[in-house]
Amino acid sequence: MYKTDWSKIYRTEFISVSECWKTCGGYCCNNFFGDYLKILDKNSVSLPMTEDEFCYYESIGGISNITSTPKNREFILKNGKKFKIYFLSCSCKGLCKPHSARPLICRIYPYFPIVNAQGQILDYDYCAIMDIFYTSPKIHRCSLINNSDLNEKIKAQLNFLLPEMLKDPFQIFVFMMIKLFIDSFREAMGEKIDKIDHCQIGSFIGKFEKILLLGKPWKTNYFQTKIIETYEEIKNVWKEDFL
Amino acid sequence: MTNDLQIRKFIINWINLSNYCSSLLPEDAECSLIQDGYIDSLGFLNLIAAIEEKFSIEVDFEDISPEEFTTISGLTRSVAMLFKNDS
Repeated sequence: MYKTDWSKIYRTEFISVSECWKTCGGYCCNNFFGDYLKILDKNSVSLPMTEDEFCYYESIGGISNITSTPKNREFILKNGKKFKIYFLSCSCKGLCKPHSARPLICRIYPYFPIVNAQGQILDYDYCAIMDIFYTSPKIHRCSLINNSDLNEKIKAQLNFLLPEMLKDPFQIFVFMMIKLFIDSFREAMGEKIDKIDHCQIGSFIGKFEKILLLGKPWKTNYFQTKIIETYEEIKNVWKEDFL
Repeated sequence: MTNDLQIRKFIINWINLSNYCSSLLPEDAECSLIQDGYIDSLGFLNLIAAIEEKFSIEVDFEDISPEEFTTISGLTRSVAMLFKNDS
């Protein structure tokens, strides 16, 4: 079975835009809405990784200034299949050391690929959880999103470099799961952060926290069934049981 | 009939038996579970799932804030309210 070569991934610059962080205040690495959070960590961003990626990340020593213990959660599907996702809590604010050890999600920010079961890239969606509640790219804080020329450039770079890892059925499954997850989250939130008054952001983030803490959108029969269907579809396409 | 004490005991036992925190919660503990570091947000999700399974209810705290339902007393009260709303 094809497995993602994480050493190659970690040598890859998926997005190459010189010093983009100078144009946005380091938006990607900061929790810009952190001050509105009442329960969740105000100062850090959560970086998810698959188990294979985490093993590689640890083998190279990881990021030295991420000192908190990584969390992990085992997800058990209704058909009994399981997988683990690890979460790093990062408060490096862009000054991670060494920068070359940063996870995949940091390398492909602001996007992840929307893929089909065959691993073909159909489009892109936002990979940072707060970004998914923007409707208009033009007013987004990230320059790679709000600048249409840069946006085209980075999508072309991702189109060129991502397909290598889309030969891994588990990685395809992960990207399809992320899409399901964020679509359910969007539906549950209803509102969009760039369509509300500034004075309503507090209650928006309160709703965001409540949904994340109670997990309601992801307990529905619909969501659970879609995961199984996705797993079966990928398994049938690739003729491999990847879980 | 499920009462507050049963719910509270379940919550504290669950946290103490989980691997989320190194110190044990006493039975009369009053604390904010996440902010005081007893469990993290992922652990809290798992706790909610465990409560739902144990008491055969769906946890949906419509009018209760996260600051309220992430404390032991607040969570106990909020879960108990679900039974009262059902009856």
